[in-house]
Amino acid sequence: MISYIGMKTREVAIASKIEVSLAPDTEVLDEVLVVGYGTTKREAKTGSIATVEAGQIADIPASSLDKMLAGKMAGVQITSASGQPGSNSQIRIRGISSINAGNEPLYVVDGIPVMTGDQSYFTNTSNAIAMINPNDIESITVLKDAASASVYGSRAANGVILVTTKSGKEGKSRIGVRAKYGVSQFANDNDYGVMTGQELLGYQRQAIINAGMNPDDPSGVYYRPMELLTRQQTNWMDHFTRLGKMQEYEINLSGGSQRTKYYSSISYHDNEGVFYGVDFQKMQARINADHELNNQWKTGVRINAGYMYGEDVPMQDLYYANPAFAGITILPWTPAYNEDGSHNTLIPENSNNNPRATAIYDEQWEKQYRFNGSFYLEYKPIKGLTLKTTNAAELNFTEGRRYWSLEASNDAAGYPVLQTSTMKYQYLTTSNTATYEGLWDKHNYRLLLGQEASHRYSNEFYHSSQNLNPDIPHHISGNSTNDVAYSEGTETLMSFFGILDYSYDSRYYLQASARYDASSKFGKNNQWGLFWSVGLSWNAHNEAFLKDVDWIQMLKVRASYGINGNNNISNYRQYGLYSSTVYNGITGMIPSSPANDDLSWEKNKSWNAGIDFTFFKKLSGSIDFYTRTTDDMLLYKNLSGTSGFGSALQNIGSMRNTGIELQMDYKVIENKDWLWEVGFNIAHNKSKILELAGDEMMSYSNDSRIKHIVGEQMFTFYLKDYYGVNPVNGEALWVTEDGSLSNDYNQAAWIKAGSPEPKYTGGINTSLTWKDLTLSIVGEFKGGNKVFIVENRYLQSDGNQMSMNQAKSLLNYWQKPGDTGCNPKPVAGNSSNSYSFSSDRFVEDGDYFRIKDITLSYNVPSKWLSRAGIGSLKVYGSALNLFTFHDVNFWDPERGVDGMGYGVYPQTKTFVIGLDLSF
Amino acid sequence: MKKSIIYLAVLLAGMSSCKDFLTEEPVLSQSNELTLAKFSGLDDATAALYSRLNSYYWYGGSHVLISELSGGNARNPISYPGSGRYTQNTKWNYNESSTSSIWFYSYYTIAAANNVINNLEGKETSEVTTAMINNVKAEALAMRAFCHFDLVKMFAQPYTYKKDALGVPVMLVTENGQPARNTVEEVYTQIVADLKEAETLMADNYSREGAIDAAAAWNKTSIQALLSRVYLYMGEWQNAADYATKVINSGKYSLLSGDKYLAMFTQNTSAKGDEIIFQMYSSIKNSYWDGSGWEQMSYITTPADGGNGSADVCASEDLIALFEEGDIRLNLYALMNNTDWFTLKYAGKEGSAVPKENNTPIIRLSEMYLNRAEAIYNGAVISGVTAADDLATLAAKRGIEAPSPSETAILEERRRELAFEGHILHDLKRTGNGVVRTDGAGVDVPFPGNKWAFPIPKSECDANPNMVQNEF
Repeated sequence: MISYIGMKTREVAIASKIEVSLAPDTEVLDEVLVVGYGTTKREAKTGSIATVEAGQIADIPASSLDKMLAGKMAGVQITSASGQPGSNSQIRIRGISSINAGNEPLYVVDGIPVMTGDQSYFTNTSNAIAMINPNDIESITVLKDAASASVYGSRAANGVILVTTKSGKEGKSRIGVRAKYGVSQFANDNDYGVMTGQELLGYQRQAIINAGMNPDDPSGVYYRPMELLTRQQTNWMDHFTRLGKMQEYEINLSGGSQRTKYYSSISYHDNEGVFYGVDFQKMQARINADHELNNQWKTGVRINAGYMYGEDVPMQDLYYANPAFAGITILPWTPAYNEDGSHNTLIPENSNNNPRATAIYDEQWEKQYRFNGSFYLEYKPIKGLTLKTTNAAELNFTEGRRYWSLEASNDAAGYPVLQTSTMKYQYLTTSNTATYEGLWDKHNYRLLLGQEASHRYSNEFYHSSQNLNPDIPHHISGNSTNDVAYSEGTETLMSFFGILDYSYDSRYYLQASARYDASSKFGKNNQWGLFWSVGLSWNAHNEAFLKDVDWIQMLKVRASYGINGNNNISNYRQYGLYSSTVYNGITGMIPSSPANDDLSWEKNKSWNAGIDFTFFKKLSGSIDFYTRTTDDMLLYKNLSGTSGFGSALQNIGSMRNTGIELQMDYKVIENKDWLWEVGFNIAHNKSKILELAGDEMMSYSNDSRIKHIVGEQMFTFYLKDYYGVNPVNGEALWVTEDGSLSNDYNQAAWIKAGSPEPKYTGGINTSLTWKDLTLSIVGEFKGGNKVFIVENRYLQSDGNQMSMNQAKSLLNYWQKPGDTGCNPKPVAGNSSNSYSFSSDRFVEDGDYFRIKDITLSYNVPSKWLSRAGIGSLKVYGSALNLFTFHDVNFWDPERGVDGMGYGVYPQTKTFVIGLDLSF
Repeated sequence: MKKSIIYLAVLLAGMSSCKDFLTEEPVLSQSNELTLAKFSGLDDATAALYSRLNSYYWYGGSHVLISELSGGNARNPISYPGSGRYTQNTKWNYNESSTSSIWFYSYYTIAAANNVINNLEGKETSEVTTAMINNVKAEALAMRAFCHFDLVKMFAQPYTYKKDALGVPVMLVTENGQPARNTVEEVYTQIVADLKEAETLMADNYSREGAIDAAAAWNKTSIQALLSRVYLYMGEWQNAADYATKVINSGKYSLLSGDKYLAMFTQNTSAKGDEIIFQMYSSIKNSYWDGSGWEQMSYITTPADGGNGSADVCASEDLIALFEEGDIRLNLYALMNNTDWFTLKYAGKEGSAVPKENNTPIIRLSEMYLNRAEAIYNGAVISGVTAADDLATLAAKRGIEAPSPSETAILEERRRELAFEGHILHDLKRTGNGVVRTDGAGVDVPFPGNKWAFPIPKSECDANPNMVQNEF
């Protein structure tokens, strides 16, 4: 049996000489799905699977595929923690299931699990998945429920994203050329901003008067004369940002003969960020080749190699060096330049740091050299039986450099400082399967048995030195207080697995899987784990009684249950260990972690029930209900200090996600000249913590303002209860434990102030084609979530931060008795804590609707092209993040999965023009 | 049949190699088993017992400062805003969440010491002598006693007031258990037993090899000095005086005067023959130096001028008022802005960058004179020495007139001499004197009272159902 995605499978009798040609299967092109260790038909699926095809993502002007999935699939929540080019996204499939093990899905590219995430020391721009050229992708499948994902066992708990890259097709060789050029700018659709010099001076003078002082007294603590306005004023955010530029070029070659097919591409991408000093470049090449030696043997390779370069400035924190923070805090009357035209670096309110100068004089970059290669050999000894071995290597070498110059640091003691790092990563996988497929009467079955093993090794070397000779900016010229660090880790995984697919008469389907995984990361008592799933479905439309109902093309009912695992913890947690410690010139050994021989995976138990339908040949969709319960959740359990440790990681917690998902596609018009399609998806997920090792509440490891509370959602903001302003005197008021009001922050009650988890997420997309012209729009939305504007601790400080600019919204402050619904009265040097880091004053509704992408493309008619020898030509223009509707008092509503978003690099709008040419 | 045997063999071979494949041990740290299997590992584990003393929760900062702030020697400055740290200690605002973290640091160290003590038996080899093993065991025993002593001082009523009150759990083996509290008397009995065993085991001339500062590791004399203090806290006057005498007569230490005395506090290491018997050696290279140094004693107690410190803690007028004209110890305080006196005991080591390193003295020779004076005053007998003699010896070095022995005079002298070294709170407590202060928060804390046994950390009570919390 020979099959290819999108081609009808055709049984061919074995003969001495055969010619096989696969008829294009245009009607059901989208009905073949890539699933774990094979493909299935939409007809046959029993679990919850979402797919995106190549055409749906290729034109989106983003630097990595994760960014292109936003709004596309129900229940697949893509959150940007940063708008920086090359940064990675946070993907949560059906909610958040874990506190201490990871929450990112498993990525499997062409059958091989790959590394993901931000792998860097000095930059935020090392998203590993960005190495895949989005245009090389044939399809992306997201396995959402246990029935479809459990075959990946201990790594499947957060869902699996299967990426299939393109293969060559038989026929004439094709050359494709693609080019894109674009510009980007800061997104600010809610007109957020900080005060102008005039506004700030007015505000500060009022604050000084309110504190009983005189702003015009040169010897006063706060001297703020009107003269400040006669100086050159600077909008610092403008000063730190620019028009970003993006360009991308690609050449691909594909084709093939009867036995040999190939696809290759080479691409270059450069994205200059909107902040000075931010740049992301990559160069990448791919070769996919398949060759049939004879009717029994087939072999092939998938090779992707490339180079990424990320240039960065300090980001993602509330730190003076971060231009996204300094840009809104440096005072407007502070000069940007010295008299001689050089950058002013003596900015006391910003620790004498000017990020614009830092971007010029300091270095902060990372280079990554990546290789992903796999080789497979397939053998069909008898009819129906396929043996396949796939062996892959992923290699990565990263070098980074961080140089703190004398110029940007005002010749401070110890400078210049140099930090460098190198990182090596090696990930080897062997995957071996035997598949037997058969048909007996109306019984169709497929049995797959497999074995997999993987070995991951990484090491990292870090070196820093001080007092360098600026003319020789390398460690060699630094002084002897060099600091060196080294780390190394190895992780192995061994698996045995099986899949059974059975169907009867295209009406009843059974899919079952089991996987037996062992990992080097777990305790000796729990090293092996069994994961399994069962799925059933019933194709009602193939029943005799519905065969003649002509408005039903498809009606399918599905149900599945399964258990999978989450092994995303760091290495060696099971061992009781001693580590070295230095004291008094002696390196000794100190106990560093307690032993846990029982350490094991978190287990996810999932139920899924769903319906797939196609009605009137126009409306298709699916509805899914699910619950997934995490048991044996890994938590740090407090130990009695007398044990020698304060806490230990143990399998003790439990939580649950429940949800409903709806995905619908409707062909509004389809005729000779017109095609109008509309797609819509929406998902609701609710998490609930069931058990926390006997505790009622635990702090979120990244930020204690978020708690995990039993009976509540995974994340709950737990903050002091801010009431508002006292209309009598303009003081901040707090609600106390007994419900009364107090102006004493310390009396304020701690309350649950909402969750950053959205109640619903979704997307809407439409595509309208008229002859050769196509307009497509993708919108994305989230709602019911809270965000915490942590920057407001400084930017709405009611006079506490007299040396920082303030948010424009603070101008609405209490001025006279009776004023309500405004900010507290500003008092210079205010220490009332009205601006507290830990108050719900700065919690806002995070709902938004984002016009994620609008693309207008034109296929130049082939009659005009053929004379020039051109196969096809498409030109298009595209806008990313064109507009976002939201109410958040900040640049952009997206602040990461936890809604905290410290000093985030805000989202940007990008406008791109491009062309696709093929010969 | 033959075939299936072959298959089975292949499968079994596969499974056993599986086990090797799946065993990955860290290369940058060492398993407990490996560390504790050989003398060299146990010796390394003993050297590391001191490491946590540099933590800012312990002798790197707050353990000492809590004593000074709540005991009346220190307060928050008026002419500097400070960073907001250490504001609750003068008000005795201790609750189960704000209480001292030395609970954990002491018990971690006790557990690590127990790992050594209980694994040393039979580790003799051709290169490892019994004497070497005994020295290491003595160090670990001394450290275990030292930690139990810090714990019982903080979290229990004093021995001299109620020795049958709840003390702290005495831990002699490392286990993940839920121990209940022993009585104060049981804790002290164990401390004395450990120290006496350590004194017996340790060779007279033993000193930890490789130490930059010899006084930052236990030796026989420093163990005897600690015994003197422990007996003093128990009111066992004769033993306290006997052990103080052993130290004084050892000839290893001598009282300094003038500039030498002043310079002693900021020197890089203790000098041979000076007053330092045991101390925390501070260094930016120590693993428990907090990353920035902004929590370390020097930064906390240094004025903010020129960015040298955070000016969170200064001396109280009550302390300054105790010094008479000519007392060289007054030179250890600098008056800033005519308002706040800052101690110079932690002014920073010579050449150290801000935030500065500064050792924390834990036992000094002058304490031995004061211990003995107090013990003799209370009835101990040492031939040829009176309480007045010891006070006079010290007074001569400090440039003051010798005070005549009385309970108050001895306590005041201790206060002058040992201020900012973590004594005052515990001296007031063991002598049954409450805190009376005119400068500072104005909160007087009478003795006896529940407050004198600090609340046990909440996380300990949560994790250990057998833990009984102090009333506070």
